Amino acid sequence: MTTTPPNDSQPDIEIVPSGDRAVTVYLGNSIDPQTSQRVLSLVKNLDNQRSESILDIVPAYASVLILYNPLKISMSDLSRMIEKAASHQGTVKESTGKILEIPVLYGGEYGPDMNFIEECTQFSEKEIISIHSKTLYRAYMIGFTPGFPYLGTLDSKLHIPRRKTPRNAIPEGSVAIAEGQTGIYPVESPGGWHVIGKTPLNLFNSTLNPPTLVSIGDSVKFVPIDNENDFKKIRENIENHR
Amino acid sequence: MNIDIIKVIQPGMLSTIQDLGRYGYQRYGVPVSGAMDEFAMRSANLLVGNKQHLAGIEITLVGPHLKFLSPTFIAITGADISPTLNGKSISGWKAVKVEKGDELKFGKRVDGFRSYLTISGGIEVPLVMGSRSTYLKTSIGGLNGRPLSTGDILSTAPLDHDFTGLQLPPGYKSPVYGGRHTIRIIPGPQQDRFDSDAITTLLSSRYTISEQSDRMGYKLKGPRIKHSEKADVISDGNPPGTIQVPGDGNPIILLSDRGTTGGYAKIATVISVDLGRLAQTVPGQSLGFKCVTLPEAHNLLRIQNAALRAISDQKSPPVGIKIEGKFIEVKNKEGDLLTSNIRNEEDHVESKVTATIGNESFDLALEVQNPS
Repeated sequence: MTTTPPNDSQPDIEIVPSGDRAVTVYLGNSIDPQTSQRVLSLVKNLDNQRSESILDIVPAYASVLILYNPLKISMSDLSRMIEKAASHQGTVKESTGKILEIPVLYGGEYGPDMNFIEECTQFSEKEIISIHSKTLYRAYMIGFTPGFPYLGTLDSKLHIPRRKTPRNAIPEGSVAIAEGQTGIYPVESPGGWHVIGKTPLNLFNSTLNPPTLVSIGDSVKFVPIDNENDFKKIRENIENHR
Repeated sequence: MNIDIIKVIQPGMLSTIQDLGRYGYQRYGVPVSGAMDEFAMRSANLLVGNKQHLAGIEITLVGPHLKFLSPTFIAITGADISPTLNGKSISGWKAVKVEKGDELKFGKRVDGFRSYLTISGGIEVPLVMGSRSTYLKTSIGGLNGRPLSTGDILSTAPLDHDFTGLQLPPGYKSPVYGGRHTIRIIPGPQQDRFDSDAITTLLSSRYTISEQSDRMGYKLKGPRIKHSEKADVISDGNPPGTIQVPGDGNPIILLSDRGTTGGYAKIATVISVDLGRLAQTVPGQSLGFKCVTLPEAHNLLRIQNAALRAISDQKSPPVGIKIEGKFIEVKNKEGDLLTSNIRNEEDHVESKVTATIGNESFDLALEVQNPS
C-alpha cells in the first residue's frame, strides 16, 4: 500500500454529480479571496483545454459548475480532466480588477426591506446605510440573472438569512443583502434577498464585451444618493447616452 | 439568401423563438434558455430536414395563427394543441408540406403543454451570444427578445438540397404525456443539507405544479421538504433540472430560463430525458419522483440519442442493448449500430433497461446482456 504524502499546495477538491450532465466542483466552503482565486484558476485551466465535451463553466464563490455532454465524455474521464486542471494552481495572477462606485438610493419605496433589517439588527436606517456603504466589496461571481454581481463580504452586523419564501418580482436595480453578501438585481426577477435600495445604473448590455458592468475580481463601493431628484438625474444621463 | 416564410396573424399565448440554448455565457449570469422540451425540438428539426440545433417556435398552451408566405415543410411536435392547416386537421410528429397562402391554426389542447413548430431551413434571426433562443427577462435573442406578435414576418434560409419530408420510422410512436407524471431524479448535489427523511418525503409524495410556474422554473405544492439546519448554501451554479428548496420547504424545479446560480440547497436533479416530459406538464397537474442512478440516466440519454439518429436515418427503433465490459451498444433490428461506442466505466449491471423515445417508454423489450 502506498501513502500519498500530504501536500499543502494542493487542497482537496470534491467533484459531485449534479444531475446527468453537470458536476459541481467544490474547492472550499467559505467566502474568501483565496478560495475565489482557486475558482478562477480552475476556470482558466479548463477554458484553456477547449474541450468540446464541456458545454459551459459557471464559477461561483467556492465552486465551479461544469456542464458536459455525457454522450462525448465519461464521468471518469471528466473527473480526471478536472483534477488535472485543479492541480495546476497559481496560473492566474491575483488581479486587482477595476474599482467601481455604484450610486444607491437607500430605503423608502426602493428599499422595502429596510424596516425589516432595522428590526432584525436594531440599527437605525442611517446606521445600516453607513455600514453597507463603507466596505470596499470584492465581486466574487456574476450569476443568477445577467450581470448580477455577488459582492462580499458584508459586515457581519448585517448578516440575515434569505427570505423563507422568495419574492416573485424584485424590480431592476434593486440593491439587496443576504447572509454575508450584497448584490444588485439587474433585471426584474424573482429573488429571496432583502432589498435595501436601488441603483440607477445599468448592470448588463448584451452588445458589449464583457456584457456586464461588474466583472469577477472587481472592487465595488456603494455611494449613497441623497434624494429622488439626484437618482432621476443620473438615470436621465444614462438614457441620453444610450 | 433569406426569404420571408411566415406572417403572424395572431401570436397565441406565449410563442417564442428557441433553439437548443445559449451556452458559454452563464459566467456573466446569462441563462441557457432554449426549448423546454429539447427532444421535441430536436425531433421537429430532424423531421423537416434540419440540423437539430436550428431555431423553431415554442408554442405554449394557446397556439398562434400563422400564414405561410412561401412553400416549405413544417413539423409540429410536443404538445397536441389540435393544429389545422386551412381548417383541416394535421398530424404532429411528421413533416407536412405547406404552400404559399396556407394558414396554420391551433385549437383545443389535447395533451401536453408546449408544441414545437419547425420549418425546413429553420427560423432566421440574428445570433445573440451564439444562440437564437429568446430570453424574455433581459430581452435578448429571438425577435428582439420578445414573443411573437401580430404582424411579425419571419424569415428562413431555405435548405440547399432536395427534401421530401420525414415521419417517425415504423416502430416509433409519438409521446403521450397524459396527466399523471413520474419524474426521474438523481439525488444531489446537496442532499446532505437535508433532514434524513427529506428524500423519502420527496419520493413518496405527490406534488402539484403551482400556477407560479414558467420557463424559469416550476414551483411545487405538497409535503414540505425539511432541511437539517438551514436552507441557505454558499451560492453556486444551478444545473439544469435541479430541485432547490427554499426555507419554506416547497421545492422549485429550475428549468430553461433558470438563474445561472442560486443559494438555496438543492436536494436532487431531474434527469435529462425527463426534463422534456416535465415541460409538458400543466400547472394544476400532479407529479411524483423516482430515483435512478447516474449510469442509468446516461444510458437513457444514449438511447434517446439513438432514437434521434434513427429519425434522421429513417431506421427502426433501437431493440438491443449490449454491455460488454466498458462498452455499451445500441442496435436496431437491422443490426445497425445506432450509438457510437461510448465508454461506460461506471459499474453498471442490471437486467432490464427501459428505453424511451422522447418521454415515452418503448413497447419493445430491450435485451440487456450483463458483462459478467
